[in-house]
Amino acid sequence: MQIGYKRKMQFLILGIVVIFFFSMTVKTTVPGFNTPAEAMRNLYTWIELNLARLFHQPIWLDRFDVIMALGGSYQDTVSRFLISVITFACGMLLALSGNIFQSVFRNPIAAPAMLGVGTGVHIGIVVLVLTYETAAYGMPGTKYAYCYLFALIMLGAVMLIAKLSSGKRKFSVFDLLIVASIFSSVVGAVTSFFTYGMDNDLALVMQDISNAIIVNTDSLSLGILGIVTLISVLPFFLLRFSFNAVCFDNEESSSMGVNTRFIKFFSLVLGSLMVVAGMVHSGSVGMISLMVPFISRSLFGAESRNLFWGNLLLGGLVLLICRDIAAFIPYGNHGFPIGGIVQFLSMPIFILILISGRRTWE
Amino acid sequence: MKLELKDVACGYTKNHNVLEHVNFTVSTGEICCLLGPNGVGKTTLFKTILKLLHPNAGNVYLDGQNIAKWTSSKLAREMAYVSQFHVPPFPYIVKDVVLLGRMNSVGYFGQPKSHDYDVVDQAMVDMGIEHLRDRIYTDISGGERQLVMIARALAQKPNMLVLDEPTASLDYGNMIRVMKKILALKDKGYGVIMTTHLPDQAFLCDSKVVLLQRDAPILFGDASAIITQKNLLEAYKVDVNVIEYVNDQGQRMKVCAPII
Repeated sequence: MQIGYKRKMQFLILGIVVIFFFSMTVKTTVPGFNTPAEAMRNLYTWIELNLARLFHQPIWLDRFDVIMALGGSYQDTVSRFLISVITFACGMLLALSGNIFQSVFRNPIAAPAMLGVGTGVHIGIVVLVLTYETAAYGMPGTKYAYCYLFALIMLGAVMLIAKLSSGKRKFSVFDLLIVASIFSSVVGAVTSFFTYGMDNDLALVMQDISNAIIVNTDSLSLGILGIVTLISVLPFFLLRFSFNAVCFDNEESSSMGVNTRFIKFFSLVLGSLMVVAGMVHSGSVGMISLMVPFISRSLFGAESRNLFWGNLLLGGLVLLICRDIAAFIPYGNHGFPIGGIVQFLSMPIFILILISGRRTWE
Repeated sequence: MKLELKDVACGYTKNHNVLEHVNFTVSTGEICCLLGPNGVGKTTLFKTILKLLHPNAGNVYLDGQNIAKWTSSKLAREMAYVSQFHVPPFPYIVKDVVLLGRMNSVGYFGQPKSHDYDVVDQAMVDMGIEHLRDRIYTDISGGERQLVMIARALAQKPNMLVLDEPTASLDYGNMIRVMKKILALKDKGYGVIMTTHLPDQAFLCDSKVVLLQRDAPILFGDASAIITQKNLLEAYKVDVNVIEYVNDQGQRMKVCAPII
């Protein structure tokens, strides 16, 4: 019996709620659990305190006493909640960007960072570490400034060079792809000149920041992620029906009165922004953008409106599960990198997709 | 509605015309078949009519208006195109493929409304493919795909349909089924311009014919006047007998019989 789209969505939402509650109980500092009752009480208190702060209620003045009375698990739950929210948002963004790139390039292995933004983020981190050394750990604002700035510079440079190199020909997304590959390789080679010269301590800082071993849960990080999510997801949400046009021949779409070039370039810019946010806030978890669109397509079909919600929810869920698994692996000072879990998980999922024979790509 | 080509020259570059001095007219309620050997420029001419290529000379008119300055959106409201190759890379459901025909009306940032779904349902009924609505497009037969593509074109609510070899690579049964539907569309008042490699189809539709030839003038007229042994020999360099017969309904029909 075939399960309908709505029923699948209901299952997915139920799964997200269950996993989210489970995540709340996972300890942040050491592997282990808080009791669900404790986690919920902590979360309730956090909401109450924030509402009180928002509306200048007296309870806010006593916040430290309250927190202290609750013991150590309060901070644990609050951190876990914020980490889960950030993880879920990054998973959403990565899965959506994966779908955008796979559709625009009609290629099941098109990576969202391929327009140079991945290299841009990497340059940002290299500059940050070289400038501030170990102090870079505690400078999330500067990290975002560098990473977003260099990613945007790379994206802009790739687009400009592609436009110039296409001359009088029509500027196509494939020109963009070729230029991005060459340009990213050259810039990557230059950057590696500096990373090879780093001493062990700096190399470790570099690795930790690249893998987002420490998830920044401060209000600046949340604010930036929220804004980027809004400005990249909202336009794509509105574009989700027209986006179907990119899966068809340019001439066909054009004869339907749709300018696919506009849709392609606009969605590629949105997708690049999404992947930058995913990389900056959650580290190297790019396999999500490859894996989740595959699963979504096999579950929800190829239509972009269904895929939008499928990728959004499934991307968040898969990355959240990976985050929870990573929390139970004792590793180094800050835990196991989530990117490693994503890569481990992607292999059996791809094998399952192949065995099930569900065609998600013709 | 009347589509009119006046002294059109077209090609992929400004310096090289694939076709020159193209003149013909098609009105709604008519079928016009474009015949000619491979590589003569049928698809180039289609692209020019659809504004995918700019004419090197001459103009294309719709109801007397030059379409040169029309937006693709405006043109899509009058003319819909069905290309030869249309396998999407992803397994779309048939109803979703047909719904894409509404993209022009919905707009870039809009979503289809109940009216759009009604149009899609009607287009599928018109093409007799309502039973396919929940099937995966890439799983259905070539003939069914062709009907789905025509339904998608109908969902655009155009007056004219431009079909690039609608029966190419279809088996005999599917070819006849698709031709029946095209004839039904003509009876409903649509204008149809189609390319074909089978002159018999022009006889079957009692259509107008544009016969494109290399290094020879382009011929335009009724099928019975244009598809003659002499013209086919000049266009295709093969001998073909044009045979006239009376069918079961007492109508005088013609068919082509190649001489081998």
